[in-house]
Amino acid sequence: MDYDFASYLRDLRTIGPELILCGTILVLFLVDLWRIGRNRTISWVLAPLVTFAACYGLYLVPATTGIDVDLWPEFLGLTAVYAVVTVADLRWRGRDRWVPGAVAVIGAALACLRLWQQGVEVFGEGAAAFSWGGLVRVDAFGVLLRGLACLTLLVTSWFTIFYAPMRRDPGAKGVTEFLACLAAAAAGGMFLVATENLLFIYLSLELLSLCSYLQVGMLKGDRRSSEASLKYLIYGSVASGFMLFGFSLLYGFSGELAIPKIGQFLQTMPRHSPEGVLMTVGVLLSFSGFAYKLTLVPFHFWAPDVYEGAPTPTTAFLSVGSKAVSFGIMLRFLHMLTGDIVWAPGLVHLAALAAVVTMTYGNLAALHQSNLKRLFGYSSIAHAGYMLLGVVTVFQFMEDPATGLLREGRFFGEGYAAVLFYLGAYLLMNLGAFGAVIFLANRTGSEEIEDIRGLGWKSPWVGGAFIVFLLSLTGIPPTAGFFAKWYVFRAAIDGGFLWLAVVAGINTVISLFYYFRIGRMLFLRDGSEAFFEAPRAPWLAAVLLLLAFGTLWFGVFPGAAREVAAEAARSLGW
Amino acid sequence: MSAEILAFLVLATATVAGGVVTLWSRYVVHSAFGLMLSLLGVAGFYVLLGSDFLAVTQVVVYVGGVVVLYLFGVMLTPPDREERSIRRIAVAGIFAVAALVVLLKAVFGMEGRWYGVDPDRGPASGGAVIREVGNAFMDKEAYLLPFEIASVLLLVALVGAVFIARREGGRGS
Amino acid sequence: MTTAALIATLVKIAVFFGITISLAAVSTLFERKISAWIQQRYGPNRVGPWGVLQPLADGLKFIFKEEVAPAGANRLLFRLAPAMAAAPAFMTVAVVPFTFPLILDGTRIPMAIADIDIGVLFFMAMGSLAVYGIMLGGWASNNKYSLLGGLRSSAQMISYELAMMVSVITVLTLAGSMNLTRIFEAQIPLWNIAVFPVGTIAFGIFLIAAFAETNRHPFDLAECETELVGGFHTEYSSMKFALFFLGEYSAMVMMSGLITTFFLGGPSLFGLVNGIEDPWIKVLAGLGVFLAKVCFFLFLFIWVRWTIPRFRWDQLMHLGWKLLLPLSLANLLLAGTLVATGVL
Repeated sequence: MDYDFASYLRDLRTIGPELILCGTILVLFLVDLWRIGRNRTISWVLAPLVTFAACYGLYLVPATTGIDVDLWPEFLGLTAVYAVVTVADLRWRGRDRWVPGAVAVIGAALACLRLWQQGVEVFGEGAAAFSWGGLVRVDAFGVLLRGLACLTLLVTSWFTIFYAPMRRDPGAKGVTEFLACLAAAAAGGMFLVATENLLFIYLSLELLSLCSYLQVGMLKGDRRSSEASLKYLIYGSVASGFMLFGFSLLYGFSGELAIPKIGQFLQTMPRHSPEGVLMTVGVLLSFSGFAYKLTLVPFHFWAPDVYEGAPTPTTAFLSVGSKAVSFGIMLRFLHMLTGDIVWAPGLVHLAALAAVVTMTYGNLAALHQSNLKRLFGYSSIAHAGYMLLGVVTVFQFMEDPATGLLREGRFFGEGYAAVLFYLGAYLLMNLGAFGAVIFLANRTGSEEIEDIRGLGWKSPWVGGAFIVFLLSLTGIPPTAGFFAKWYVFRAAIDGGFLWLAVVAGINTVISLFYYFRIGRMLFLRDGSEAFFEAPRAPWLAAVLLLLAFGTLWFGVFPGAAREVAAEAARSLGW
Repeated sequence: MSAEILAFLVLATATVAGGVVTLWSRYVVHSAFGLMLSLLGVAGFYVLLGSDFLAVTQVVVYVGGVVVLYLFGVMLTPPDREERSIRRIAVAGIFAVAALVVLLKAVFGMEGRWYGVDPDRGPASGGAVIREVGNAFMDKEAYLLPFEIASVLLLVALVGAVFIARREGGRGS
Repeated sequence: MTTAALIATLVKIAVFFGITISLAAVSTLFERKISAWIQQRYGPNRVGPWGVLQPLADGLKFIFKEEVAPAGANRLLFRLAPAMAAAPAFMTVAVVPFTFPLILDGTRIPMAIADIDIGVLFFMAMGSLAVYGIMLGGWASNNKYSLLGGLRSSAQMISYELAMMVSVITVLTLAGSMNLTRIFEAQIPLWNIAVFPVGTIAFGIFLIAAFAETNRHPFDLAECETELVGGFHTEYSSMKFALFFLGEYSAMVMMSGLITTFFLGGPSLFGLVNGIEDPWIKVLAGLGVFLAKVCFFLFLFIWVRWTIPRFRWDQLMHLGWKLLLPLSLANLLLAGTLVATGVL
């Protein structure tokens, strides 16, 4: 067979960031190999040799084929990272717990950089590009969500370096495996929003889920972690089974795997026919799979236990990255339903109901939690409910054929754009909150709210940043969280769901109580003597301050981000 | 009754019976065994439909691989002595029957409308299928990317599983 | 299916299945005779001249023995297990080509019961089913020795199956087909065992794995008399016990047949048999050559059993996972490269 090398490279380029993450995983394992090597001399000889060979190979490809391998700077960079890290590892053996974390951070940063380049090309293009035989769809929407997932990975790998339960472990056991799972989960999430093919959706969702199950259980010796992992695995498998059954119905009737083609089929199908009923069942089952990932009530029950038991970086990843890409794929899926579909109104009300129940449940349950991570678990459920508000307006758009003409209009994009903006803001504030939890837990050795009493005065910078995140999570100006809520509520009101916006407003007030409780503990109570004088973590604090600055920045100047979100939303259309 | 229908009935009975045993039995080993029967029945359906490659793959992967590993894992578990909750069974039964009714009604109501399926196309079998499947996995315009991503999935799953299963202090000590 | 084809298939089933069963029965006798020679004993010599009727006598004895099922045994699975142990080996008979295809008046009658294009996959499927009988037999007996034997043997078979399958894939790469008749026909010019190095290495791996898959010495940890009384069949008696044995020996026969087909050119013998003009003589001569090769491997199985000591449990796993599997993968990679570059 004759291979068209150039077209391969073209297609590889479109999934560049994911490839870099896969390369990062390999580098992680390779570095780990040297770390367990008993014989230092062999390591010294072999490590540079392998690195040199890899560099030379990467150099050789463009040199011999005459084709510019677009990705080679990244891979050369990764190889260089490998070389540096290996040498550092050999030099400072024993004090090198940051090594795997550094590899993951650099890999994620490279992937982000590549995504940024892709974003520059894609934004303003309008039309989506396809590669890999139509499996991968490159559009602004996908790039934005992939960017969110990748950023989450970057920040959470940074957190991992400072996460005490993994640092205390002699020899930093398990950090490599943990980071590999994290990176693979992020790659899976990125593939998930880069495709509209059912088969690939399922595969990448499984990559995301499987790696999440593993990460959750990686605090060995901690019963809560193991229990959470098992629960997550079992419930997750059931949800995934439901979703797969839904997919099989969709595929079985339409004979198509691509979402747009299934959408076209839905519109040509005879109305009120039995196959329509089964397609509805298929769509509902598929959504139940996404709802599981999004912790929507009644698929939320895993969330509190898992959020509490998992390592905190994993909790952060699950609540932000995993949620962002799941919303992304849900929006892509929803797009399938645009047009004249009989049962769309029913779905609207179902979704509206789910949104109300989800946010109310999350907020009420969060009120009397004593564990910080568990509290943020419930808060995360509530936020999923707010975000669903934006999604509901999308349904509303479909319901009314008269406004169906406004495809490119303000109304169409509003719900989508609001959700996307919300996801971005949520990334900043929730990652920041979890980072602060890690920072404080390092000092107190516990994740109970009671134990952070007075810590704000001890670490004023981090305490201040935490307050910013909490304000933003509540939705108080001038923070990004305020505008996130504002856009979503406005979309709901414009979509004719005033009552939903009112309920969401009441919920916001409820959430004020428990967010405020954390702030009060931080600053308004006498300090407990229970905490250790932990080593300072200025680099963790620096990232938290950066996130807090971002939260404030987008709270004051939301316009540009909002434009980006709107453009990404527009790129969804075909 | 033609031989084909007879074979179908036998296979259907085996598949359903296997499924029922899987759900009903108190011995996990029996459940695994029922699962095996059910999966074998499905493999039989594939043979009946003329897709022998799929059938054999089903046997290799599920019956010979997955269920054997299940059995290996659950052989040492004791039987479940707990009393059955009739209420739970009744609820599950109602749901199952409702789902069955919806499905049957839909299938019989379709009056032979099949989409995306060419009923006149004979089943492809044998060497041609193997070649086609192999090429599709290696074709950039077909399923090369999912194939490779599956390998990432398996790699990470393998490493993670080993990590979870490893005894403490296994490394570096 | 025409009547002629139906009759041909029935005849093939009768002949090939008969050959397999008889070989299995005879090899029980030879097992004892050869072990006796190796240990300087006489072996069975009472029933018939030179003890040839011993298998028959054994069979009768088994039939007339009392069937005992231990208390607390799981009845259904206890009864099912021997049949499940024997069935995969019997079913594999269906795809093994015993000799050259018979060409009569231009129609080609392949000399395997089912000459299917996915013969190798079928063999893999049956191989993966073989573990059930032993596993369930061990579990259903309600005896800790049986359970340990069953667990050990299932772990062992799962482990060695991998290396075996990969080495079979190497053969497929060389032959370019999954049809067993095609595979041996591709070897008429040069047997796979002589394709150095890939064919030879694949042969070695397959042979070792075959010992493990049939639970033969030096990998018979499933029975392991010194530690586990009798392993998975401790509690079995009469015909059920005999079925386990029949299954084991049939599996041996089948493994020998498959090794012959995969690596030793099946019924071909340096182009001698292939050149015969008369179709019937060619078929019969091919059958003879095939059976001779099978008998050689049966002898090898027995020879090894009475010569080499048993592996320890961890050594067995070490060999399977850390040596054979990587080696077979590397071998496959090499074979693929050689075939793709046109060297082979």
